[in-house]
Amino acid sequence: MNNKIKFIVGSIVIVLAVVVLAVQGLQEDSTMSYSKSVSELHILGDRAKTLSLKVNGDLKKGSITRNNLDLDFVITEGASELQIHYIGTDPIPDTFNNEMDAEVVVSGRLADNGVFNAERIQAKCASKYEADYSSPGFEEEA
Amino acid sequence: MSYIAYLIGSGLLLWALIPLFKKDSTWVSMYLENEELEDHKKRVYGNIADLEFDYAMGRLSDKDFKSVRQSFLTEAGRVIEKLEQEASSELRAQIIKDTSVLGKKKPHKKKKNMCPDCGSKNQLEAKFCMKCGKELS
Amino acid sequence: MADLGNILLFFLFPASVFTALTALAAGYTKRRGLLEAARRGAYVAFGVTTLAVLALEYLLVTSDFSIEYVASNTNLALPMFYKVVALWAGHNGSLLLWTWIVTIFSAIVAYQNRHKNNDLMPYVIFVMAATMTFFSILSIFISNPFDTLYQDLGNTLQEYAVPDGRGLNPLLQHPAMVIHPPVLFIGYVGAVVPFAFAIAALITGNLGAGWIHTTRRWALTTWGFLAAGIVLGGKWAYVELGWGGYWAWDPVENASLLPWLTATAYLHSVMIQERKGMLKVWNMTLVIATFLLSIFGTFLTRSGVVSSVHAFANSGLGPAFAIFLTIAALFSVGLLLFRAKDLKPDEEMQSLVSRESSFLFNNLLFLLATIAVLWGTLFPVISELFTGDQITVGPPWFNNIMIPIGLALLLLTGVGPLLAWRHTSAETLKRSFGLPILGSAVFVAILYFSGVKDGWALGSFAISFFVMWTIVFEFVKGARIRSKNSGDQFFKAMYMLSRKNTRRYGGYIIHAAMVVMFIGFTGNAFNSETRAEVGEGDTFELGPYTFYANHIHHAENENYSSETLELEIRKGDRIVTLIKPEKRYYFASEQPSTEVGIYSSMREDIYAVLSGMSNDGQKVIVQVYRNPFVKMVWIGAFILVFGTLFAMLPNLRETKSGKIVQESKGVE
Repeated sequence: MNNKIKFIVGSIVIVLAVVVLAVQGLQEDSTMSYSKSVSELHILGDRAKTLSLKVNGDLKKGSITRNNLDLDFVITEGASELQIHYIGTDPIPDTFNNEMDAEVVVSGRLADNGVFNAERIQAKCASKYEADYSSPGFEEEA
Repeated sequence: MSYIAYLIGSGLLLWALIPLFKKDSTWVSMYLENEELEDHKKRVYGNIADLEFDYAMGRLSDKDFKSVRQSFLTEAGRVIEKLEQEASSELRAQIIKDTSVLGKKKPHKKKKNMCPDCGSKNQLEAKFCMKCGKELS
Repeated sequence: MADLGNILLFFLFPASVFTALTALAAGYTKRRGLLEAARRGAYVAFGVTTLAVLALEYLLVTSDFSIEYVASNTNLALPMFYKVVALWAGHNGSLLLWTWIVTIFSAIVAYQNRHKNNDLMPYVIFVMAATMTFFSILSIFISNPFDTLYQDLGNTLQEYAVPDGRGLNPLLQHPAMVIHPPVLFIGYVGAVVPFAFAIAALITGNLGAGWIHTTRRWALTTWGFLAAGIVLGGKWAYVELGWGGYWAWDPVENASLLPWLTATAYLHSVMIQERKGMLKVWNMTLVIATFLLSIFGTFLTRSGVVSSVHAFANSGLGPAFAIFLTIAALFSVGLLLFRAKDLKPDEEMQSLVSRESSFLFNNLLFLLATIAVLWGTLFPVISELFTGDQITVGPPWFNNIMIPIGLALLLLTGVGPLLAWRHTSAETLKRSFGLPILGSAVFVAILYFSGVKDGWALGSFAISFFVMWTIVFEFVKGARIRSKNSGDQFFKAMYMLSRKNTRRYGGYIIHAAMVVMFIGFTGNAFNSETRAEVGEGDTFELGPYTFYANHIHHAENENYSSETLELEIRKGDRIVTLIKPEKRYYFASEQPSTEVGIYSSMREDIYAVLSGMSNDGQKVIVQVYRNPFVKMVWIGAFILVFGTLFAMLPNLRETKSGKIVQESKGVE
């Protein structure tokens, strides 16, 4: 019995340690990010400026401008738009050009001037793993 | 072209069905009454082997080794004794069953229906011996 | 041919249902005929699925673009090799691959056990057939790779063919990506076998250790293939995705890690059941968990529940998987609870300072790791349910938990073997641990004074040193003892020693592999990077290296066009090597991709990515990373595979006359 208790105590200590690590991990600023769509972001209003965010939207074709290492573009959801300024250092994903139908997820924070400073960009080509061949539009793409 | 596929598919399924129509038998459950004892025996032997290995590798003092080994050997002894009891009681039961059969007609030899009195062969379904009239069981 | 394939695939459904039902009937009636019919059913399922797969391959290889799958995943210009492996490039095909492997394993298991385990086999086959049935429903009725292309003409749908296909996603045109799915799937599907046997044991009440022995090699196979699949995925991400790392705690990555964690726990806790008759219920739980997590992993990848760069687009299979998982979970747990009273432990733990306790802590840590990764992966879903906000946790959260757990586990791999079963005396502790601890302390001191200040890195190197020492000690001391007893020369003694107990020594090799991989992981603490815009002739620096842009080069072939930077790496006066990061644009799929330029040495990787062109098109923007010890991860993985194979070898045994003989089952 004595050993069983020792073992249980030891286990509880370990479990508590892990829980502490888990909670501590959540406190760190950059770890938790809220996923919002463009329109949801606008609804948040000023509160959005305090959060670490992951915003998803569709790339507005033709909105990409590059200036040396600067990258700016617009993402949309329905009628809502969001101006993005890329401040990260990672290479821009390959699916990212003015021609693509891309779904974009930008991670970063909303600045005071309403522009979103993106530290990371994830872009998914609209039909990467799924071809939409049953729609008549396909022939034009081919 | 597609009929080939239907042919192959159906053919294979039919092949799988065949065993259902053959003369069948059941298997006897292999679960040993003493499977638990066998597991226990394997466990103790494994423990002894590990113990000897740990001792050789210098992880145990002489004293520890001797005393733990003794307790394992005792345990192994007990398990083997129990197994032998099981085996001997099984054996005893089997002997009883077999000896009770000796002197009686051996039922599995019913392929040919032999009359126990005159020894002549009879039809399988025969109730009375064709030669001497003895009632067949 | 498409019709042929479609019909043959369709036969899988009746075949698997037939197999399941006859198997169940065989279990209930114990009739040999029924069991034989069930076995044949498994063979038939394998047969028709194989033929269906061959049919699909034919369509891919002949570029039949009337089939949607062929048109989505290949094009005329695609090299033949990739046309063949496009079998698993897209969702429908990869699901068919999964299904095929289930039928293969079912057939093998049925065949392997045709003369034994009659009590268990009906239910084993039943479980495998039930799984097969589920996947066949998905493959036939929901995500059928043989679907043809249709055109909507208003009133009717007409079949048609496109002149050329969309081609293979360029990210997938890489050797590591080619073998990653099959390897990973073998790992996933392998989990079904021990699960099936466990369920059979629970149903029949044959709760002895027999089912564990029979499935030992299957469990090891699953574990090894999962590990290899995970590393291959990491290698691919490193080389193809171009962000400089190999693991991002992405939901799909985590999905493959989860069953591996529980499988590792199982491989260890099984030894406790073997030696102490403890943890019987726990072992059952782990086997069930590994199976459920494997299915869950496939579910996560395909359902779009958690968004990820990897995930296949939402394919509508989510609900089906959820139902299957729920039924399987309820059924297994219910069975386990029903039989729990017959799974009482035979012995108790006697001391905290024993091998048992180190195994128990090992399992506790793996359990916590599994929960943590599961929690983090599902956090967006959970948080949305409870707060309305979808919140994602990133790598820092995972690393915060997993690094300490990983290091604790690594430490245990060194401590465990040094402890005795039942109890280890203080004297032994001093003797066994004294030198290794001293050695590690000295090693760490040397590192510290050479400039390594990062606490976690020092801890990691200390533990690595300690564990490696204990492993080498096991081999050397064991060989010496044997050499003395048998007269064998030292290395022969080491070989014979290992071959006589492949599980133990294979396990040590795997632990050594983990140490090597951990050294690789620790390298991340020392990563550095830089970024520069260069034209031909420009230079820049990172650490002790100077980079010289030798040449910028444009090329084109029928598959893609490319932009290549020839980057010379110099150290002082010496030219180290030339690397060629490249950016490609694939015509058929209209997708760009990055080819990373890597110079990999034992000490570090120099890793260059082209992130873009300057506005005037004369210069390229290149990102260069210095990643220490990455090669260790890949080398460690190779050693791991070797160790796994070694552990599967049957033990050699010496007969009384001194002859060496191979045992048919290697367990000790």
